[in-house]
Amino acid sequence: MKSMILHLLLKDLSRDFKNPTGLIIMMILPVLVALLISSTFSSNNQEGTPSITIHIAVLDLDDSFLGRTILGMSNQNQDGGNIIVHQVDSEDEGLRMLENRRASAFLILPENLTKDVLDNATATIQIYKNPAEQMMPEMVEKGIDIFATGVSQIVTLIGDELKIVRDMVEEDKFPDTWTTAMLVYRGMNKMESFETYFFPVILQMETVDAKDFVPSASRTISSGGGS
Amino acid sequence: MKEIFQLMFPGLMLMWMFFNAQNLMSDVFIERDKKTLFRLSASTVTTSQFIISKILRVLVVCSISEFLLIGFTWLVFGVNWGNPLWLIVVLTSCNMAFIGIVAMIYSLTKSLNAANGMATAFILTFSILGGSLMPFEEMPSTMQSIGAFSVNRQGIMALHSLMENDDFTIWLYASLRLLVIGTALTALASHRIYKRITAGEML
Repeated sequence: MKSMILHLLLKDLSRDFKNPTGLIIMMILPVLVALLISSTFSSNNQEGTPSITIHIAVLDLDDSFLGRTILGMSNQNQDGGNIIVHQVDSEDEGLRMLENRRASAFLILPENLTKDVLDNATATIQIYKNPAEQMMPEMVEKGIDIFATGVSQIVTLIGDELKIVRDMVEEDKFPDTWTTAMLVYRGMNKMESFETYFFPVILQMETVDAKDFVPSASRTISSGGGS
Repeated sequence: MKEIFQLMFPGLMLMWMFFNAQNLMSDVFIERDKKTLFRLSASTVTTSQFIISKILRVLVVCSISEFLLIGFTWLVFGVNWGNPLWLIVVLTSCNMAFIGIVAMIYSLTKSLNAANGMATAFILTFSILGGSLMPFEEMPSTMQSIGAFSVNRQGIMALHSLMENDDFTIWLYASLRLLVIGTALTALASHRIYKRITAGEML
């Protein structure tokens, strides 16, 4: 019986290996697909971390501190992420960049943005998201949202001091020593109320490689940190 | 790139071996359609011998394909597959599970087209839910709850635990589950195919 089974098996195997095209295709496909996926999501970064480049078109009608801060965001991200800001001269130019898929988002910084923020008046940054993309425009929107929230909170905290700094910068003379000292003193006093949030830091971030990733079901959460 | 390849490849390999097993098992229907089964039944070859040889054929071809792929990826991409002996155990149990499922499908259907269609649907469903096409951890929890029972998920879990040199109970228990399921389904399917051939249904 065993020899008959072996005989039938060898007959079928010889048939398979005489025409192995189907088998070879079945073997090549997983390698190809895995290569495609891994090269799509990998990078040329030497540290092996993914590199994402976000192109943002910006129309700066403010031409002041906040506008220059946003324009200066280019290539300041660490860990392989790149932000490239393209300054445009008109709304049409920015929208054309979106249509030609040269930018993921288009920001319009309104006139007197910095002045309005410092004067606690409402200022609106317009954002046009590229409809052909999903992830990058969302990242830009979230980034601007965080920026706007952060700036609003900073102005609430030390808005008066910032106005003094702005006035000092706009004056065409060397700043007064006493005014500068009082400015620093008042600013530090206000910052002291936030000391417990920064020392030690309550929320920390840690980058983990994919191979070290532990699924959430098996992760144990340890309580700790200051109150 | 190597890390992503190492993460994705085991799932993809298992999925394509599942399709391979389906392709090879369809030979039972092909032999019926080409009348070679009728001629075999007139010879000294018994039905049991015929069925066992088909199952062994699928097992051998799938195993050879998997080891060629593993050897290739180890040499070219430097993928670490873990202990070779335990790898044989895991892959054999995966192959048995695949054979059991496709054999069961082919034993229940009347025509080759129906069997191929149903088998493809099963394989794709198991593969998607089991994490062969996307990382299992990124799937919604509902899909994870269902996908945890798929043979692909058990196989991927076993292979990843071998590759990462994890606790041996992970791959051992997964392999045992796959072996039990595979053996049970193969036995049941073989019995059904035997009944159908001896009743003249497949001649």
